Amino acid sequence: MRILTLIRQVLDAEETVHIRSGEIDLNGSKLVVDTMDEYGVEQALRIRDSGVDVEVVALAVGPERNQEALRTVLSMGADRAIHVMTELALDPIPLSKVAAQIAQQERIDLIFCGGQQSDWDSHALGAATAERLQLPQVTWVSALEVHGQTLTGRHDVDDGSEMFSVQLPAVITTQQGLGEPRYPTVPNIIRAKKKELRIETLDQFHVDLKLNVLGAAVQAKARLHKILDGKDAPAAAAELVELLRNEARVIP
Amino acid sequence: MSNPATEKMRRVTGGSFLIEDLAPEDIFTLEDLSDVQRQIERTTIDFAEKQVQPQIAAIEAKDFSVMKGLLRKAGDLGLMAIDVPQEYGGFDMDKVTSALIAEKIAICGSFSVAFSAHVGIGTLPLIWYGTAQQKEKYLARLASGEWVAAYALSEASSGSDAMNIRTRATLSADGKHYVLDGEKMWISNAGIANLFTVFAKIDGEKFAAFLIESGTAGLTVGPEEHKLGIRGSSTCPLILADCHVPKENLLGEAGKGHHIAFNILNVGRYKLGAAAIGGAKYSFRSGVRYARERIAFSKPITSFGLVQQMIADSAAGIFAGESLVYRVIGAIDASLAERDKTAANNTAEIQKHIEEYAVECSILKVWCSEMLERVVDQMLQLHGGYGYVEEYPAERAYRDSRINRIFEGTNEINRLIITGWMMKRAMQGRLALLPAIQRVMDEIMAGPTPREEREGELADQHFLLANAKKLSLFCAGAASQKFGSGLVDEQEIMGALADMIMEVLVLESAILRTEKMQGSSPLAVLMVKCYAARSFRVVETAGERVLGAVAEGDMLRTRMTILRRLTKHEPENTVALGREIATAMTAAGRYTLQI
Amino acid sequence: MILLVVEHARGNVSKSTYEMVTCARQLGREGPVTALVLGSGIMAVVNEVALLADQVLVSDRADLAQYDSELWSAAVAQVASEGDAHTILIGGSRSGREYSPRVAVKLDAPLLEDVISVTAEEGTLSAERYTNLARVTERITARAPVTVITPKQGAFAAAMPGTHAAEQFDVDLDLTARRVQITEKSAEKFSRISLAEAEIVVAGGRGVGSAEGFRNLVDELADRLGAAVGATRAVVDAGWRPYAEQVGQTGKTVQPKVYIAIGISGAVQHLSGMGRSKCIVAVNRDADAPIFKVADYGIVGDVNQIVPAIIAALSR
Ligand SMILES: Cc1cc2nc3c(=O)[nH]c(=O)nc-3n(C[C@H](O)[C@H](O)[C@H](O)COP(=O)(O)OP(=O)(O)OC[C@H]3O[C@@H](n4cnc5c(N)ncnc54)[C@H](O)[C@@H]3O)c2cc1C
Ligand SMILES: Cc1cc2nc3c(=O)[nH]c(=O)nc-3n(C[C@H](O)[C@H](O)[C@H](O)COP(=O)(O)OP(=O)(O)OC[C@H]3O[C@@H](n4cnc5c(N)ncnc54)[C@H](O)[C@@H]3O)c2cc1C
Repeated sequence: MRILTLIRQVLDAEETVHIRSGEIDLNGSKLVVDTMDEYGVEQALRIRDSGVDVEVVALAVGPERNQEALRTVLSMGADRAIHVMTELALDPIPLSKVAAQIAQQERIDLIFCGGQQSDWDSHALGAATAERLQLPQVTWVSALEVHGQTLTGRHDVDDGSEMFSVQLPAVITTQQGLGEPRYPTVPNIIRAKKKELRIETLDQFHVDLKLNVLGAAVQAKARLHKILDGKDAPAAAAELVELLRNEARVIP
Repeated sequence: MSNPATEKMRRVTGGSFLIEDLAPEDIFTLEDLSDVQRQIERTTIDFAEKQVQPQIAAIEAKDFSVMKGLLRKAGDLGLMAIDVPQEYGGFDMDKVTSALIAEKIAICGSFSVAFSAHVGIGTLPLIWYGTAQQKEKYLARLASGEWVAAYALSEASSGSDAMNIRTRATLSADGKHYVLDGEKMWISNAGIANLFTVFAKIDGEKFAAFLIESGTAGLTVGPEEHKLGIRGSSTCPLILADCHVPKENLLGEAGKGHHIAFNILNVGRYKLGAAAIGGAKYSFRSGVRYARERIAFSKPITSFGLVQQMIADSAAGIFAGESLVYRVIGAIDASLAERDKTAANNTAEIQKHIEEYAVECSILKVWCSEMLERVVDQMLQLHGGYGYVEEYPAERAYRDSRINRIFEGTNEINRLIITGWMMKRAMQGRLALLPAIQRVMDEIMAGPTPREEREGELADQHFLLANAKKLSLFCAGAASQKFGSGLVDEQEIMGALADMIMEVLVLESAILRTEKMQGSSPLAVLMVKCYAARSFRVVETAGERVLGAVAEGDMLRTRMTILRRLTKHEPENTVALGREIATAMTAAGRYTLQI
Repeated sequence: MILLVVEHARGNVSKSTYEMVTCARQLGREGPVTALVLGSGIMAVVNEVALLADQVLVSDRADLAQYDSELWSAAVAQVASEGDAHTILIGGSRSGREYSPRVAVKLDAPLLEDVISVTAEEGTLSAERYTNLARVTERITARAPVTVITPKQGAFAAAMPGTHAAEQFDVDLDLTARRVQITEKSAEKFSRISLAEAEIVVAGGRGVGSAEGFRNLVDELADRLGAAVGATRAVVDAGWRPYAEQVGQTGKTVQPKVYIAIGISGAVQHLSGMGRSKCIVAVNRDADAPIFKVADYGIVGDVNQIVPAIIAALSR
């Protein structure tokens, strides 16, 4: 079996978002593999660890620095990586076109991708890729098992969760609840250096961009920061209730 | 495995920074890290922030099961096997990598000390001096973190004066065991260790080291010390009473144990330097984040100049420290890359190459521990009253940093080593210090020379650096003229010279690194300018101190004229620089090189 | 035409449908607002929607009894192409965001996902949406013959129903069999007050200590205030509370008048679900917890002492 994991390099969630002249500026910020995508990598590795004959291929589409993210994934244990290099920021719909073509070329059986992108806050990549490949999809998967050609597991839906079963090939979008992503260990990092990281150019995929980002802004709401010391609980509580009732007027 | 960047680098001899000038491409900097090094750094950061940090409260409460668990996890990640040879489950990697790990793990002082006592002074003696059998028996277990190691040299009556230990070893009647008696003090990891490297004198004379497993009859771990800082790291006395150690557990040669004891310290010192950088960055981050949230007089306190000054001063110190640490350790790697890897005694070769940089190692230890102290102090200060209570990490960082000036050789002892080592090398003719001093003297006596024209953004800083070198050589010359070899007993002068020597290395590292960055970080330029101003004052003050003590009357006046001539310069606008640095750091919420 | 895919549950039209109607009418694009109702046994829904839309298309079939992303996307794409829709509005629910990308791909259309505003100006649609875990607002435009839009839940006001019932048409769909089999469904039980709509939310984190602590502190305080209950992922993962109560990146987004966080650290993923609340109140024993950085009011102290004291103070 061959698994494709779609990887995106994003701003570490703990970092401050910097906006310069109306654009998000990642320069100098800590960038990481999107945590949601890491769950997919981990899941792929677990399937391989369980004894199934699996090759795990990671794909990233983006600027050169994405290779750092791919190295991380190789260091976690992926077998090889493909980097489609471009300075263009692709939204999920054109991005899925690249992912689908690579999946086809590589004869992929199972695709993992994060349930939500932590930079574009989008849920669309997995579904759009599945559509292009005419594959079934299951999103927000929090538990997964492979039995031969069948995948079973649990996933979140609007008002709860469901147990599902689907035949390969398929697309799965991942999230917390699946196994915690492993750290690259020193020996794996050393080994990863020798693994294949193939670089492709974007032009061969014929994507066309239909969305334009005009500008970005952070409006942090100014907060009052009236923090009381709770050593004297009744007094602090009384003061808080008084503030919420008469100053903020938010409770009856 | 090592970084190709260091393999290409020119090899420099230890101490030569005082008399030679290097070009930016001759030094290693953090910007030169290889992919592999960056990945290992990332793993360490993730481990420290996601595994260690949430457990800090438990660690500080001396829950040793947590500490052992974390050490084990670090071992599973391979973080403890960087210096370990491949045949014993290690990776035998470069020293920059192990320094990066030391730096990134240093977000919690207690854990950092436990970790480095284990991988450094705990494990290295075995790697360097162990027989194949000894390594076979213990090394893999130490490298994986399954076992914890400790190093027991100090005693109640001999810390700095380590040659004077009283613990005795005698060969048993049947010749199968050494029997040890004595008491060790301040042993890091004692309460959790499985293997101790214990130093003793055989028959009260021959200095020797022994590998002793915990649980050996006659070995007792005393009660935990109640410490000012690093409270979560175990520190206890060891009592050896009729402790029978199998003869095959003698480590290295009898009579040469002090080599083991001291050679290990070079590594401990440069790693301490790296760890201090990590501690400083961490403290800086929480300080700046606090400051930008804290409102006083209806403004975030980061808008106040004197708060900005603390932030900028700390940041510039960290920048200089980073430049220093990775330059020196990179140079060690460059030197190690040249070693004869086929030599029968590979580890002896490694030691020889590290020992070459003993003076740099001591500089890292002293300078970085003092930089750290300045940073944690300023970060506590900008917390105001909240810095003084346990709810905020500033208080712990302040307490935890203090040990760094004490162990691995006190900063006084290391200052004496710095100047003393340079003098010794000069006497042995291994370092061309004397001709260099002569040249400076000649140049100075020839009267004022016009300032050398130099291009580039850091021309003024280069000028300060060149003069700092000259002034150091001039003062060293004046001091040795007066005291000759008796200078070693003039500790205050040795100390002042050490301060000058240190600043030369630090300032040069920061300038060269900034130039090597080729404008990619405007912030680095601001910081090196800020740091140069401060550094040069240190040199000037130390110079005055030396001159004031070695001459009087006309002689003193002449020399002070020379000092004035060498120190004359227009000050940078450090107020404006500081504001700009602080603004960038505040926006980033941590130490950064990118505006 | 503007095609609007009706979201409904248990025979009722969902609030998000009312919001989509507002979005469609504000858009400034021509053509009738056409509602598409997919499902099985959906007459009540169709009648309700008829008072909102200009016309209603209905496909009432047994195989549509249960949502499926492939079926839904095929149905919507087919109706959209046959009816020459230039704009397709799909709900910003989890399922809407799951099948809308498929529709976009089928129609070779751009996807304006989870938008908080959208307007048309001569063929170009301009929209705003939150990004970077809802910390940033980005402005985007799309220019294409067909566009798929998912409006963010709660971002648009609910439309008022009219008095005139729109015409209804049945549509014939070409659908294939579903490929994902649902073997078990664990629907969450519904709480009194819907989290998404509540004016006051009381939420608990790991700091409440246990499921029992959650009941005694969070539920109790919520009852006293007539508030909805929220939880962090940590609490949901521990099994103390159902997933339906989770607030954050992978849970619900709320924007109440006041959000009271009890024993919650304030991880970015949590903040992304509640950071836009009008007023934030936090109780935590760690003065350094990130939640205080976004709080308007707060108490540093043990929840086991502070929360009962608040409850007591409220009855005074
Ligand atoms: C928390 C902690 C952990 C430690 N861990 C270990 C460990 O794992 N293994 C181990 O072997 N040791 C360990 N030590 C011991 C440590 O290395 C010694 O405390 C240190 O070397 C200083 O020795 P001392 O305490 O005897 O001080 P002293 O040597 O008595 O020094 C007292 C003061 O006199 C100064 N001084 C001493 N001699 C001179 C001199 N010749 N010239 C000028 N000034 C001088 C010193 O600088 C210092 O200021 C640890 C200590 C602590 C506090
Ligand atoms: C991809 C991804 C998606 C995620 N999505 C979400 C999401 O949608 N929603 C979400 O909530 N999280 C989400 N998370 C998880 C998130 O990162 C945090 O782990 C989680 O929000 C923490 O929950 P918590 O605040 O309850 O627990 P903790 O972080 O453990 O905080 C507990 C707090 O309680 C305080 N406390 C403890 N005891 C007491 C006491 N007796 N009195 C007062 N205070 C006390 C502590 O000081 C602490 O601040 C996601 C994570 C990832 C990686």
